Amino acid sequence: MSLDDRHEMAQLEGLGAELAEAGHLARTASARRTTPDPEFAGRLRAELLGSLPQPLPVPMAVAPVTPVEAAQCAPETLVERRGPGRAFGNAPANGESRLEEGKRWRARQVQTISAPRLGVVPAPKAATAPKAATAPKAEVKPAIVRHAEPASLSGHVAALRPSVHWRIPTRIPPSRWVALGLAASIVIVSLMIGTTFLFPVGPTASAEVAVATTVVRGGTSSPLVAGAELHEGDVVDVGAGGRATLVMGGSFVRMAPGSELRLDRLDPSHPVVNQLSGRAYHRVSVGPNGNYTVITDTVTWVATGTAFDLDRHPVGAGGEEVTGLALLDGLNLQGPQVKAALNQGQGAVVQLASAGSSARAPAIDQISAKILADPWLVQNAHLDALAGLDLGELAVDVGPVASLVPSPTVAPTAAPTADPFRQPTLGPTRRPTPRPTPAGPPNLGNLTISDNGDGTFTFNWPKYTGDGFTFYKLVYADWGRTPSYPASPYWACNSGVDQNSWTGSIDIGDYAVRVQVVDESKGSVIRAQTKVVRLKVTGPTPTPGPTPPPTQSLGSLSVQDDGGGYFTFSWAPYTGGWPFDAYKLVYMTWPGSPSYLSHYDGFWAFGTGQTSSGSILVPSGHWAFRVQAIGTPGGKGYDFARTGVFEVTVP
Amino acid sequence: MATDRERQLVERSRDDAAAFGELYDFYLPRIYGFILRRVQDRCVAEDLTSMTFQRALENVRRADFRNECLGGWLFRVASNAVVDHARHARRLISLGDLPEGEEPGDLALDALAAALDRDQLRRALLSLPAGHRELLVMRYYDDLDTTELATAFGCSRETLAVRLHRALRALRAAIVKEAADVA
Repeated sequence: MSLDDRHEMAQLEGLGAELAEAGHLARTASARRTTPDPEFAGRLRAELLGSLPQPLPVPMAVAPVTPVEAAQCAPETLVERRGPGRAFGNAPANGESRLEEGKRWRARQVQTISAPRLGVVPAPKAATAPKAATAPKAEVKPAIVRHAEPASLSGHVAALRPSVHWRIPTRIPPSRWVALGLAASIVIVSLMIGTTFLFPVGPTASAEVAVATTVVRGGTSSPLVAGAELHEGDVVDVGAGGRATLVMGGSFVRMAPGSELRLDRLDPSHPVVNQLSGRAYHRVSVGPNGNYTVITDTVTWVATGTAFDLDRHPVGAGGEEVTGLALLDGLNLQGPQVKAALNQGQGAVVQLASAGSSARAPAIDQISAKILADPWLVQNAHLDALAGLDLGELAVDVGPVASLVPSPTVAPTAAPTADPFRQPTLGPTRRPTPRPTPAGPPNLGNLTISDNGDGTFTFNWPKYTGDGFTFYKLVYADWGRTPSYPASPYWACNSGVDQNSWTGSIDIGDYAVRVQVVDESKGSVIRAQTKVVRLKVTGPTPTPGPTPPPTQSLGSLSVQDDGGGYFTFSWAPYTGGWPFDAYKLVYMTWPGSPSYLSHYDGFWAFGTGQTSSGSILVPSGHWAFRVQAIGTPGGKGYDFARTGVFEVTVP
Repeated sequence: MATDRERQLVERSRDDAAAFGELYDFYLPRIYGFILRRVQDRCVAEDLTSMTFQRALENVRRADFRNECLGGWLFRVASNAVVDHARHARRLISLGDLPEGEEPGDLALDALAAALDRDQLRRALLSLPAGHRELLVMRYYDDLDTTELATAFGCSRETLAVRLHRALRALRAAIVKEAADVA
């Protein structure tokens, strides 16, 4: 190699290093943005693998999922409807483009929200879950069965896959233009004059869950069935032991046993619900300019946030009171002599006189752990967690409970719970309902996290000693959510049962972290898990460090061919005195100048006291090898020393 | 992921969903990031990512699937999907959004160029022919290793090394030209 060649090689190496550093910077800058949404990742995984997370246990009898939940957490309960000869996952037939195939994915997500088109059946494993019979029978009944699936198709369980066709717009003949224009004119005129001639039925809601529930429409009462449409003015009455979930646009409300609601307005952006009695959990999604209103007699509750709970119940002699809990973001209440704004984590008790007027100012206090332990809230917390929704204050109710292992659920209890906000009354004291024991995988023990001070953290957890170990997953989610494999991303996947620790760098963020023992032999079963631990990573405090010295030369790299593709590499020790982390034996395709800090095809790491690699197997190829002493002064990688490049050819 | 381990998993994926699941877990973030850096739209990225892995699932179950480097194969499928998407989008929806002849990978190129310190190098990179740009972006921005790149570009590792060398030489020549133009 001539001097010019060497010069050129050095220049190209420098260019490569600059590009690599820029690429690293650009990737780092966009790392968080380019992380796939866990919900998407989990759902796609489920679709690809054909089977997904076993039915998830909740502490109370679980109502059949709402469309929102179905769309977000339980695609295995949706039956794909497709014709024979089109097995899932095959390439689209008759020339459908890949783009159309991709479009269908998004269409599926949208379609799963559309209740009337869903075909929900119990997940196969739910039907055979051992002793799930402790839950009421209704739990395993089909919630909505719109389409009778032929037996030949019933084995296909996947996300709903409606057929969506779109094509390049073609020219429309003039006659069709005329017809189109006329139709558009009629629609516009009818909208302008406010007639209901074309659209006699206003916006509707739907009942996604309805057990022991009746609907009163036009003075006529009839049983409400899951999947039924609801209209403005309908009164939904849930009997004792029943339950219902009503979906209004993107929002939904879960009604507790004994509750009664009237749907005053079903505009998806401005729904108004009149809570006539009982308890209901409201989950709001109305868009930036929308609002969600609940009326309890003369007191009006307007959500300024996402999730809240209202409990309206009689007290004393003919009086009533309403307890409102702001569980995720805020909640405003207003009425005669009553006006307050609750922040997340606050609750208020408003007493209503028998005539319906407010008797006194609301009692506002922080929501206590005791209140959050209420089975009704715990049940809602788990349902929301399974749907991947933010939990807010309810995050304390989930912890390690959510799991993929079927386990007996606790029968629901309709008993009212004690409410510390409630004013002392002459009425009978409510008896607190015992909190159900959280079901889930065995507790693996405590996860401990230590900050190494250099941007890296070390996680330690107890070694798993049971059966069915495939790997440990160190899963994480944003704080407030519950990390769980496979829906959540993970930092580490240790496939050795003895590898019960991991050290690595963590991006800045506020995380909920835990370790799960996964058994992949039976389809991602969680065998055990640690409790969720919060990890807050803040930016390092920049401290100007001393400038590291110029890179020292370690001379030539000595290579001994041990035969059979094995080689032993030896090098002179670094003597510069600066603390460094490790020797890195890096390689890349010849010709090249490998560097651990910029570009390489592979590397081995050795301790700072080592000067030999021992006999290692080198893959076939034509390689350039080098050893570097790598450290991180000031938090940035730096090679304190390096050997020359050695060419190795392995046939 | 070690090559041997990956090949074993691909082999097992023909009748073992868990094996494919492990491959999926490993490659999803990279493939999704690769696509999102080029389309800048999460919905589209999810569409194309799902399509890529669906094709992977179909193909690994075929007896004639060349089990050499699944990662590179995935990147090739993802790259084609991005190009197809951009062409469809340009033809069907966003006429004029993309200048004629400009490929969607240029979004990634722009991001890489923006992270470069030297203006001269940035301009030189942007002036390279599309083939060189694409290779450099995938090598240094998307961080594909040599084997993945070779599979993604459908060539041998040796050919890939030569192409990479030529791309860097072209970049150096472009820098020299930039300097001369400025002078």
